[in-house]
Amino acid sequence: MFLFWLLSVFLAYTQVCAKLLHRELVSAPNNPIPVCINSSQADDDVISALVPIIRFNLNLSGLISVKTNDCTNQIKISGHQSLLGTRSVELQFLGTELSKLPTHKIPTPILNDKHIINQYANKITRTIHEYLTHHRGWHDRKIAFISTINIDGENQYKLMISHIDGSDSRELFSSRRPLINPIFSPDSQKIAITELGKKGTSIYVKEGKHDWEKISSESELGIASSWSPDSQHLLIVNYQIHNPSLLSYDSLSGTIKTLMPGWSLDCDPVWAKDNFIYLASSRSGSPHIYRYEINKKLLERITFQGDGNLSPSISKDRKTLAYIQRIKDEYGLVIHPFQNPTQPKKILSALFLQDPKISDDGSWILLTERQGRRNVIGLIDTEGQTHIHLIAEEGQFDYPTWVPET
Amino acid sequence: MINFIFILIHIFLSSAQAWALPQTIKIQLERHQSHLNMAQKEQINDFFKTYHHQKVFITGHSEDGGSTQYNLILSYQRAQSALEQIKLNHVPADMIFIQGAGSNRNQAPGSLLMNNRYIEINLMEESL
Repeated sequence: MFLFWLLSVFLAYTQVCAKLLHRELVSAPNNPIPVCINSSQADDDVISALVPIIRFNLNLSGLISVKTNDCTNQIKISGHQSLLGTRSVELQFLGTELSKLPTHKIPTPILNDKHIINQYANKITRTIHEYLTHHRGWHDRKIAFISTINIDGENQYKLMISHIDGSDSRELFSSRRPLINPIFSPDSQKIAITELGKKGTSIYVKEGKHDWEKISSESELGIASSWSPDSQHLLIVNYQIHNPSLLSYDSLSGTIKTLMPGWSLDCDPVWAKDNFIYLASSRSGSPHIYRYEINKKLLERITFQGDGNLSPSISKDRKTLAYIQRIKDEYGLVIHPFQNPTQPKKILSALFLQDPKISDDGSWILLTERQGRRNVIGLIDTEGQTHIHLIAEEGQFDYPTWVPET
Repeated sequence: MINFIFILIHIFLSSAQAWALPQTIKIQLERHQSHLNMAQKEQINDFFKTYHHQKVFITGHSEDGGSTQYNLILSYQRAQSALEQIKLNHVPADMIFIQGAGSNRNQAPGSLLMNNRYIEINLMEESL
């Protein structure tokens, strides 16, 4: 038993240390919920491996502060084994504020892989986080991003996918040319990426376990921007002509048709439900956010404030819009709730913010920020309370995006 | 003989004049600006007054932050605007090469105070 315990702790430790990225809490609410974590079964190898990771994750969430003593709120974590031999971890919430919460059981997977321990700890963390704060958790979500590492004076660009804590990372695509804008289809079966070449751009698409397919020649100038809600069509900004137009690539037939003719500088289109496209356009002089209704061919301006508004990202329910606003020499991350469109709220300001991506449920935003001279991934909740940096151990990260939950 | 010397001197002066040309100009632009104003068009016209059948490389640049797409497309549109003006100076189209660099070659990444809003035009001898 002792050997098992040692092995589990070692695996958990190496998992925490040997990651692609590390997380730094930048800001958090002033009054996090204080809790103590009790694990009565110190001899249980699973519990012993999980608790340190859960404690670390909860503290990092910003909304919860894990104490060692003097707690009125307690979470008891214990392992259980049924008569059939299946194991689970039971979460029991104790204390004046938490006792109304029901006991929660999470089935334990077979922990034969070091990645599984981390994923399981992240899942438990998310459950605790959502129970206590009533805010959606991100702890077991997956993200994709572009990693740039300079090797012998030459940049290597890689499309990476990993859990948000940096564990279980995989390389999906690599190039010596800059890669931008990885985008997943809503059913998570397809991914598109744009490579910047010397003469133009190349768009690559991967579906399921098939190989990458190049769907545009290098002499063309197009940027893969968004998938349609049914995951069949890829929205491409074609900027070969003077005024960029929006094209739709049908992944079944391979045909391309013009969805919206260009005017001035249209970019950053996002294909939302009910055939609406949200985009940035500088047709009024400086860029602002517009909404285009495909069926009626109607374009409506949404933003009016700031020196420029760019890079819209919209939640799946179309209730929350996030975008970057520029005022003088500063960028702001703005949340625009459609229930109250006259009250856009700036939740973050900095000299550099870029390409925000809101989660499907509208609770968290990933974006590119800058720390020193390198880019890092920012994670912030849409209330602007908890702000975390995901920092590369080596090189820099850009273009973070959510991998859809299936 | 004297004629020959004159011809040599003429060739030398012509070459010297060509080599003395400024090989690069940078045209500074305003925020969100892609079309050139009159003064910027004149700057290009002046630059090409002594054009000597060199290759022309135009690179548009933009600031970083906000949106990668916007910065990339804006930089390309800036290069296109320069291309249109250069064509008016009787430069053969097949000698002109354009590129939008976006904010990738920002001279001061992370600092909006050092702006990166410009078009760079480089002339290179055809043999290069």
